[in-house]
Amino acid sequence: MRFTLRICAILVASVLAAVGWTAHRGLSWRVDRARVEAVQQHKSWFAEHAPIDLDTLRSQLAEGLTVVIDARRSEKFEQAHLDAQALGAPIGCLNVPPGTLIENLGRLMPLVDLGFSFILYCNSATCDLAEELAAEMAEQGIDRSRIRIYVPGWAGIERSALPTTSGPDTFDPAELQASSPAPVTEPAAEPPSADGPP
Amino acid sequence: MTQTRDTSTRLWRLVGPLCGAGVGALFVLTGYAKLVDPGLFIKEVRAYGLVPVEWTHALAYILPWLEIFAGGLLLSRLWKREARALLAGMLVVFTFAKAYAYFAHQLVECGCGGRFAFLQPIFNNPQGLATNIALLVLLGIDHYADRITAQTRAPAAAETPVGPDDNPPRSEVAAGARRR
Repeated sequence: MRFTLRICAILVASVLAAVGWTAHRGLSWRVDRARVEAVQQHKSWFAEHAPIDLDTLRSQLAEGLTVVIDARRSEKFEQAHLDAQALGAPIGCLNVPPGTLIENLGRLMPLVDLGFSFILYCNSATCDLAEELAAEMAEQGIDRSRIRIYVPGWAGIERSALPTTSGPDTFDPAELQASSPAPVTEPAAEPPSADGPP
Repeated sequence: MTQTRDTSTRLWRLVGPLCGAGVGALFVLTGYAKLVDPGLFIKEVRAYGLVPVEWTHALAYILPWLEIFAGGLLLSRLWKREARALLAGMLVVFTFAKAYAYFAHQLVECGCGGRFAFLQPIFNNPQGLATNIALLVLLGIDHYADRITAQTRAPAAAETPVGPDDNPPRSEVAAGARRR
């Protein structure tokens, strides 16, 4: 009896602590099912339409209007990430793990306005952080056709012996805007797809 | 013979709490890691696809606290039986969830270490399954050590004569009062 009561006490204490903590941090317990499903649909779309191979990665970076985004956690990014500038990209690799897009929008939107495309990658082919981030970007209104995913991810980068570097992401869009190409007024047309979310 | 048994009992008394403390500390750490990044943990709960979407927030908010409380209680040796039972229950559920995610969806990332990247390698699949089983074994050792300790204490208590400083049993106190 005492055993059961104590178990219940621990469970109740955990629930109460969670309620207090979420109230303190302003976190919502309500799940927006429609949004979750929309993100899921975006993820499925990206999984089908966005993957690119190593040659496309190289050629797109060489063209110069592409930014690489590492969707892995910041600790991993700081240890090592793709040296995009060594492959011809105008700026180094950005680090935007899923869930941090809102706080990074201020850095990404100037790039969107300047007409940049994005290549995302995460750990490996089994990791879906890049699709997750791509879905979040699409949810924020960034044109899906501008987002591509290098599916082999960090594992593929290491395997292909692509140039890498280390350190935190210190990109400031102000530096780029000083020496930027002319802004693109019309976003690139999205490839026709009937199955994507609105 | 008795000396060998005493040594073995002493060893269990030392090893058991150490195993329990290790598991408790790990749960406090993983609970805290999930707590500091609830958004990440919500996504990882969702990726398992085992609970309805509507439950994912509640689960992601309550589970870290449960880990912290149960781990903390085991670490401090307060309510250790209850804490051990809860942690063992969680580990069994987590192991099944991990095995399902790995074999059904090829999900490698665990989400067990939250934002603490250094915890990920030991919990990511497939070695994460072995880690969970090892933690269950450690809890089993702690439980067994407790039983051994209790068994050796019980006869010892029966054999020990009641000293002048010891409190007499309540029945004797009552009988004495009646006699007076």
